Amino acid sequence: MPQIKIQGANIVLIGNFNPAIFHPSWFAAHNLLRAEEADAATINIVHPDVASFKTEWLAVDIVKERFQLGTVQESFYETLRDIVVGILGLLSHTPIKFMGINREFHFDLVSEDSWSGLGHRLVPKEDWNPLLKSPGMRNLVVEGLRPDDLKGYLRVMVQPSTQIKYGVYIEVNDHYVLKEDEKDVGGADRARVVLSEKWNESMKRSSEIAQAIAKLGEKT
Amino acid sequence: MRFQKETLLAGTNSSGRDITEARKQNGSTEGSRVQLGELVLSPPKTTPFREYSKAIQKWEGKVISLSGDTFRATLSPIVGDKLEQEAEIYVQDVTPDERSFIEPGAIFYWSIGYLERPSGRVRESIIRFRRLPMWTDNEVKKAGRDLTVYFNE
Repeated sequence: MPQIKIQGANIVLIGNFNPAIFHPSWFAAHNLLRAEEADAATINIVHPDVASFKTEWLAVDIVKERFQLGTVQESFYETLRDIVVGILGLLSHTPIKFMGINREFHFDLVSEDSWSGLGHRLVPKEDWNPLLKSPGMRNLVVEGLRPDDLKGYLRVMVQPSTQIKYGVYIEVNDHYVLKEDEKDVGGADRARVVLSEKWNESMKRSSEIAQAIAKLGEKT
Repeated sequence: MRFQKETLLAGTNSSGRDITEARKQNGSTEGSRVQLGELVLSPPKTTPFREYSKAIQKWEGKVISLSGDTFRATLSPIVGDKLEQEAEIYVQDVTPDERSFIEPGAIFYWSIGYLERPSGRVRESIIRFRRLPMWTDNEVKKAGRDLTVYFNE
């Protein structure tokens, strides 16, 4: 039975941001982080073009077009969501076009048979063997339509894990389209509603997808 | 800042501008290219997390009442056992700077699990209060907007 060894969640927004404001002290001043957390943050850089810092559990990486907050501590998934909801409320006029609610997993498949079996199940080697010597799957991305009425897609990436021997890395990108043309306003509010309303469903679905894929190696 | 070779997860078949994947190569973040004055750099790799936590049981709690050194709360399961329940929790189990949040109606998250550290596994119990209001069903309806109105063609 594949075991999750490492997992994480992150939220990605595509829009127009001002990285300079995203200093840990800003988070604390707006009650998004505890003051002690902000004070203890490890700051890589806070600059008009890029902001990057980490707290004990939170990773913040923001450039002008892209905002990403994430954690690998399951205890803080809901707090991560709340922080982004809070930011979206504070910056409600920020143009945001797309949002991704993403999960990542490193599964331990335990045996080489299960590990190579999964790769073969996802990418059968018969057609590759005449073309390449000892072909192996390095990166697979599959996209599907959304299961609800919202615009966007679900995209799943599978790679051999670099953290775990006989492990597989699976990322599920739950992608939402928030606005379609430049005149359309309200992306931040929509993102806030989606995060609030769809978070639990997204988390559950992504976990189920990843678990199902990881088990495929057992069936060969 | 040091120069790094840029890694484009999207490859040559996509502009990458609308990708909301985390752009992680198997857990390690490769940042976007950034123009800082005359320099074009990739931001430094974020320091990899060395601690990973896994919840065995996690609830969303709602405070019912506060009395002395304990508070009562309803617990709705997020991870683990699916049973809804009530609990009486010691105030001292809440980190001191969050105790002011303990009042009827306040929402918190209680996670019990393991923290994997380089020094070994640690059992943890974390209570964390929600700090900002969330949109509720009533708020969405009051605004006269439905999710599908936002997103449908």
